[in-house]
Amino acid sequence: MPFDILRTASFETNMASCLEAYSRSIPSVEAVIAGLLREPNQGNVYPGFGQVQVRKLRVALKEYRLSKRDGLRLIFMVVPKRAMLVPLMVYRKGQFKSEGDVNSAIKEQLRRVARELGPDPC
Amino acid sequence: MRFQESRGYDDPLHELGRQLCDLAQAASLPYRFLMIYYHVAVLWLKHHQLLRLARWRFASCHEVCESAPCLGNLAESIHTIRSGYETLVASSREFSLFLPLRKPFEQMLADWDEMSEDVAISSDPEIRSLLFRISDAV
Repeated sequence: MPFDILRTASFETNMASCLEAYSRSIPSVEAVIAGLLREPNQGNVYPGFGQVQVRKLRVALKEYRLSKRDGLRLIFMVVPKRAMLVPLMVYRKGQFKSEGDVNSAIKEQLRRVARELGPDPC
Repeated sequence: MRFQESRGYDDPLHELGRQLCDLAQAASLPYRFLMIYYHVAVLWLKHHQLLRLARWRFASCHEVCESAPCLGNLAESIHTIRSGYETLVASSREFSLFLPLRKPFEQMLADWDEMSEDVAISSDPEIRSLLFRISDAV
């Protein structure tokens, strides 16, 4: 089944700022995202979300000689029931100083995406 | 769930953590460099296998039981492994005898770093609730 992609404005902003210094890699990152529509089962799964899959894919920035290990991290969600793929966040390996900083940045980005997609239920 | 309640030396991840701590201590004695080289070759061979095992345990914990102690044990093992590699990377910078080992140590550290980051992200209750909120909204 072909997947559709839901690219939120928050994701676009996040990606633009993350790739600001790596502009030559933008087309290859876009190609990777397009490839996910054909093969959404790429990357490591964050388990425990039932039918919905949350995954993290490592992306090489070949234009800057950065391997997958040192390149980008793309976190995305696959909702098979709606045949929908939602890219959530990208960040560079080493962009954040500690694991705690990564967690905080992810929370902040997810809050933005959640706010954009629907009102806070509380 | 073979490793669900595993304790002590039956657990290969715990064993790796212990080996790395021993190795890190030995690394402060540069004349033991031959022993370090031998162990690194073994570690390199076991590296991917143990990483796969850690990922399998991580997935199983969440899918089957979501047991907090089980996840806690896994996180603790990964933390010990990471600390061991961090010490070894530092030692390889300090002593020129270990310089050729710096890259393999750094690569292994990066992989366990990734694993640790995944466990931390996936286990964070706020991140989980935000992800559920997003999936409901899609």
